[in-house]
Amino acid sequence: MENKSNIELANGEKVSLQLYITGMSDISQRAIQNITRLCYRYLDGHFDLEIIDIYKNPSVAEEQKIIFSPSLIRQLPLPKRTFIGDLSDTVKIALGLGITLNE
Amino acid sequence: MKQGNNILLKTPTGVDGLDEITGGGVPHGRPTLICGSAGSGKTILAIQFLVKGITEYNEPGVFMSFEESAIDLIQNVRSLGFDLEKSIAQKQLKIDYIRVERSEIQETGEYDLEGLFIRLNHAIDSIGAKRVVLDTIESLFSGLNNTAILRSEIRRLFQWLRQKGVSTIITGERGETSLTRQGLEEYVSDCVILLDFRVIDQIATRRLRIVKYRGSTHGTNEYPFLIDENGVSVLPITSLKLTHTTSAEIISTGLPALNKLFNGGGYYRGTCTLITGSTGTAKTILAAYFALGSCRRKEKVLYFSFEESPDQLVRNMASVGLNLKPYVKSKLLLIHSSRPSLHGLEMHLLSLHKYILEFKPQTVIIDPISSLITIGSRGEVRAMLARLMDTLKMHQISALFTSLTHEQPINYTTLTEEVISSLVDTWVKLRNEERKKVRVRSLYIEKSRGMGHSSEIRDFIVTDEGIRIKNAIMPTKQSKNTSEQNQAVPENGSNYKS
Repeated sequence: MENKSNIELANGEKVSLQLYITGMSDISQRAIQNITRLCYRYLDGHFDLEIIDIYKNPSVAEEQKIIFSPSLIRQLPLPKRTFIGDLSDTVKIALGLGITLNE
Repeated sequence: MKQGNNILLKTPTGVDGLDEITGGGVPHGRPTLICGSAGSGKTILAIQFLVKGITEYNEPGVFMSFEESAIDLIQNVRSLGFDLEKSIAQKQLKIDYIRVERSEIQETGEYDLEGLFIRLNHAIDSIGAKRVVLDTIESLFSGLNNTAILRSEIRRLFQWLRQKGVSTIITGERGETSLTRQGLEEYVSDCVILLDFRVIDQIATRRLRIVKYRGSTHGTNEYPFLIDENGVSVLPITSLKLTHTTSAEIISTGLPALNKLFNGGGYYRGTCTLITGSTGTAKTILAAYFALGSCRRKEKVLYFSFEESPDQLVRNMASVGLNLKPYVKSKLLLIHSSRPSLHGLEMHLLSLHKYILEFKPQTVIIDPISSLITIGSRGEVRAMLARLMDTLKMHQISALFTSLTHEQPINYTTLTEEVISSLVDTWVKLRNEERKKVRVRSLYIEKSRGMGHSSEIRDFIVTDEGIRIKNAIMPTKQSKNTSEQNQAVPENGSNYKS
């Protein structure tokens, strides 16, 4: 709670994330839970998280080259990074997003 | 193949020859696996399946590429005359390039391939696709660690494709112990086609085999196939049946004295004649006689020469009084020369086919066919010749092959002869032997299907004015001075066959 964010960001820059899910599937739901928890805990106020259901937007899947579900894409800061899976491997995601875990 | 409810529906691939072997094409609305090593022609075959679907059967197609980008793909197949861009513009084709780079993706738990399903589904529905190609889905494995997920997802994908009712071709790289690296053949149980690319004696040969085709009969052999400027074609181009019509018409051998040795006075039209002999026994001269005879009947002759160039052949024949030149000029005679070692056997066969289809000759001469035999294995040659003869007979073409044999005892047959002789209808043997310090040429008819023939061994000489066959010299039982009345010997009665 005390730390707004423990990620180094340029002034006013936010971590821009997109999570592509497929409807109400179990792994989609787990992925949503995992990423929101992580974001609110470590990136509070410094992130944009967009959740996109590719069932409803099939053409987006092609545009964004989504093959796996769920897929999390970090658009900013660059470089772009892609994570697939239900995002249960917190250590790996944190490392990939540049977050220092404090536990 | 699309009649009846209980008959397996098939989707024609539009690949020359493949539809014949499979009895109509690949299973309709089901996945087919095409596997083979790198460079064996999987992608081209798959593309052709889509392109022909669009151009010949009005079936739109989706190509999911896991290896090449759309741009690369379009460029690569342009040389085959496939204009993918046009099909894409007309909403007949959709290419989706799927790339998984291990370094760009991090696996963070359980996932599925739903994204791929959605994209594929979207692509299929957007153009009403009936055909789908997945090339090569196994590439996914190299980008990911969790192969267990991939496996079950790919299995699910194939089931989904079946439900969707699209005819699908899945390509797979040949594995060391299995047909594909990841054992995809376990999931695709409907139809599996194996492509092979081998280099034997420095000559590359491509082969295709139907490993499995559930619920359907299919050719089980290995069939040679070619990739040329028109894409893939599998041999046989013709049917595998012995259903050609036969002719009772007799045509001249081109040499009156030789005609007389046959009770019918020549060869049957549309049959195959083999002339064998060691070097310098005048095989080519006899072939040229046959060509001339055909030209005189105003029938087109296609002469494949594997040893002499056209000019050389014309000159050499002129030296024995056979003037081919006017017929070459009037385009009644086409001489095609090439080196036997230039291509593999099937490439030769295909070029023979192509020339035959283009030139539409009534007579074909292959001089000598033994040069082709040296570049293939025995089984191959046999299969190739059988196919060639099928084509010839289907088109009612009279053919003559010469074959070089080495001097052998008279009752000895070489491998070459063994391979061809059962396929040909007429067999004339030439010899050149030493008698009292003189080399004497002689000929006799070994067999002549459906026609009685002389059993004499007749000496002959080659003069400036051609071949002169001498009267019978062997004091055989009933030989008379004139050769017309020679006793007919039934086909199986020929004396010298082993």
